[in-house]
Formats: sequence, C-alpha cells, structure tokens
Amino acid sequence: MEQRSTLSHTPNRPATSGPPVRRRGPVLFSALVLAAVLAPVTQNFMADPWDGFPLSYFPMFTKPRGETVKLTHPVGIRDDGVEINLPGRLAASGGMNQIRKHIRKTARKGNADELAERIARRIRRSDRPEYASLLEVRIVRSTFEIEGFMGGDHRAVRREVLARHMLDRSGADR
Amino acid sequence: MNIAGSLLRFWFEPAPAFRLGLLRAAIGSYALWYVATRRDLIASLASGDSELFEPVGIARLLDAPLPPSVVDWVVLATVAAGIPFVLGLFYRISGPAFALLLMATLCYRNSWSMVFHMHNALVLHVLVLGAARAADGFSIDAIRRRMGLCLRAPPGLQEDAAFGWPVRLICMITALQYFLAGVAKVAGPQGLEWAAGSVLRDQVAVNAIRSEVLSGSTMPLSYTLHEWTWLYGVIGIGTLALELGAPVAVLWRRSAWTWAILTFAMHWGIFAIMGIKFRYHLAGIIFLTFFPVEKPLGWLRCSASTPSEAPVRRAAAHDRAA
Repeated sequence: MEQRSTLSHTPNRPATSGPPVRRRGPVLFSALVLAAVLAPVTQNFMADPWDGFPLSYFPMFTKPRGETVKLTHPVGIRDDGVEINLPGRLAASGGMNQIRKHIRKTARKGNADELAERIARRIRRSDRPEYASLLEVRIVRSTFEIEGFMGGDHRAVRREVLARHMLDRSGADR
Repeated sequence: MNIAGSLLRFWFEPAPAFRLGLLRAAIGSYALWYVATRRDLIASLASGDSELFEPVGIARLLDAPLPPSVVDWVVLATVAAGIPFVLGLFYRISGPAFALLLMATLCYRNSWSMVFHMHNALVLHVLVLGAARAADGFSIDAIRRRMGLCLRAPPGLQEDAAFGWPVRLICMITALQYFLAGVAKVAGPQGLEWAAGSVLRDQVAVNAIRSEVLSGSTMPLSYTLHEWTWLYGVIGIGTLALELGAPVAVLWRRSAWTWAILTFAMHWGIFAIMGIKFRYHLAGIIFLTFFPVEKPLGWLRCSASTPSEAPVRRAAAHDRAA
C-alpha cells in the first residue's frame, strides 16, 4: 500500500502559501494550543492530581479496583418489607456517573437527609405504580462483591443506612 | 534534513476552503444540537445545591454559582451564536463568539459534581474553527461574496495553507487527547499491567454494577464477557496501542485514516460493552477532520451534472482519451 508521508515534500503542489509572515500567527496559536492540551500530563505525577475542562489528563478507567465496590444510592422500602433500588434520576439530573457522584458528594457533605426528603417528595408526586407501595426512602452506602454481582447475586455484602425518610401519602412526609 | 522546514510543510499543507467549511458546519451542528438539547439539564444543575459547585475551566473565575436565569441566558446566547456559526454567517463575529460561549457553557455544565471527558475535544475543535478562516467556503458569507454561485459550483475549492493548518491542529488536538488518556493509564498504579485484561474487566464490572443499581439496567455484554479475561487483554492492548500511538499515526494520511476508523470502532465497542455514549465520537464527527470530507460532495456534483454540462464533460473525457 502506498504510504504518502505528509511530512515529505510534495513537488506537484505548493507546500506553503503566502509570505512567511502570514504563518507566524498560526504557528504561535498552534504551539500555544498544543502546549495547553499537553500540559495536564503533569497531573499524573502529582500527589493530589486535579482534573479540569476542557484541558484534562483523562484519568478515566485508571483507578485501581479491589474485589468490592462501594456505592451510595437510594433505596425504597415497600409495605411488604421488600427493599428495592430507586433510580438515581430521582436524586439528580444528568447521566449515570454524574448522578452517582452527585449522591456521593451530597452524602459526604452531610446532606443525605435532605436528599432522602427530596426523593420522597418526587415519589409522592409520581403516579408510577411501582412507587405506590413504598413506605420509606433510604440513602444507603452499599458494598458489592464484584465477582458475586457479575455472577448474578446483586445483594450488597454490607450496607450502611445514611438517612431515612418515611413517606406519608396523606400529606407531609416525615 | 531540515526538520523545521518539514514540520512547516506538514503543518501548512494546503487544503480546500470547502473542507474547512464543511467541518465547521458538521462540528458546529453537533455542538449546537448538544447545547440546545441540554438547556433544561443545565438549568436543573444551575439551580441545584450550591455546595456541589466545583468550577472548572473558565468557570473558575467565579466564586459562587451564577443565578440560574443568567446561566439560561448564556445557554440561549450560545444557541443564538451557534446558528450563524453553522451557516457561516457574519463569521468574523459569530465564529469567535460561539467558540467562547460554548466553552463557557460547557465549563459551567462540567462544574457540577463531575467532569465529563466527552466534550473536551469538541470545545477545543470549535475554538480552533472560531479562530480560523472556516467560512471562506461552504458558507453564507462565501455565497454573499460570490453572488450567483451555489453548491453546484462551490466557492472555496481552491487550496490554501490558511485552510490546512486549522485541520492539522484539530487532528493533532484529537490525537494528543487520546495520547494523554493512554499516558494516564500506564502512569497510574497499574502501569502496563493495565493492558493485562483483568484491570479493564474490573473497570467494566464496576461500571455495570453502578449502572444496574442506579438505573436498573446495564449492557448485557458486561455480564457475558466478564469471564473472558483474555478478550479484555486483547481490548486493553489495542486500546493502549491506539491511544499511545495516536500522535504518530496521524502524521501519515493512510495511517491516520486507519487510526480514525479503529478508534471510531473502539468507541462503539465501549458503548456495546459499557453503554457509555461518547456521542461526538460515536457519530464519527470527531474523526471527520482526518478525511477529505469535501470529496463526496464533488462526486455528487459530477453525478448530478445538468444535461447542458454533460456533453462538455463527455467531450473533455474524449479529448483526454484521444
């Protein structure tokens, strides 16, 4: 296959156009942009790396994983005592990962009670049948065993209740 | 060999204005669609808990969140500037205006809870387009300058270095961002072991667990492939090769095409296994700059020749054959 290097000179075409002075601006602009794009690479070697936007060091999928994973999330308790996972979108807007981080940060800042109350308000306003039998909303921190979960056992191996809020269908929640 | 001269020739290889115009329209359309369809989401974030505000990018100039109404006006202004950007209208103003407003909007959108990595390239691409002569071809400005001409005889088919370097810069930004993602993986705690398979498999599993618990569903392939550690090894090696090799691959035309196609496939693979939607990448728009996107329109023009043009073309072809 012919591999034409764009680094090599192409005799049939003018390689450049205009006087060199016209190129100074683009060269400077390009160099600045590329240096800015590359600059975040230093974050990889910092003790406390910091991610930014639109200049990032792209740390996704680099965090080491153990045998378990912890997750802060909302659950509902039905009137028959069964616990169900509540969708994260009841807690926040955005994609799954944004919602996850939103819930975790809210709980870390000590606002899990307010979050449970907000979810309860949304459930009370909702007419979805699966919420009709809910009695309580909880914000929990669950620990899942990765191999077990991927094998089909979706139960948490540990669970800590961070906040709970009773749903009162007749009026104000408790 | 004069390295600086070779680099300059590479950087300033002439390209048609029409190509840069098409890229502006395609990338700008995506950015415009994204912002317009995220107005409610951004409004919802902007009215959220101010304690969760962690500004990034130019939003770091702010000490506190902006009033939601101001944020909404910024989003509306971004959309308003995006329309002439896409059309190539009043580009000297609309180009830089949309680029800066898009950066402001997406920096603010990423200042709540999480930094998304899917639009870093988009913001930088639009910044380059906004600073370049990206409306000299395929734009209303170009049509206004050459009244009477239209798509059938597009202005801006002439090649010039002024239309080449922005495309080069966009390609290199894309490549460097993938390179950074690769460096972050091997510079992380796992080092080159990241490509061994089990590390990537666990990353996929953690994503599946989060998705299952928080949204009630996950991609079935996450479960199906969980035992296939060797396959994750292949995917891991391929991913690192694409990411770390990106800046070199994009130096040659055919290797750049190959790299772009493989990386495009990688994003569809990520979507199939993890359900992660890098829309700018999945739509292929991020990779358009690696290809002569004006060529298909040229073929269309040829195949859609009017009867009056056809004999001329046939005669010219006959002359060449003779």
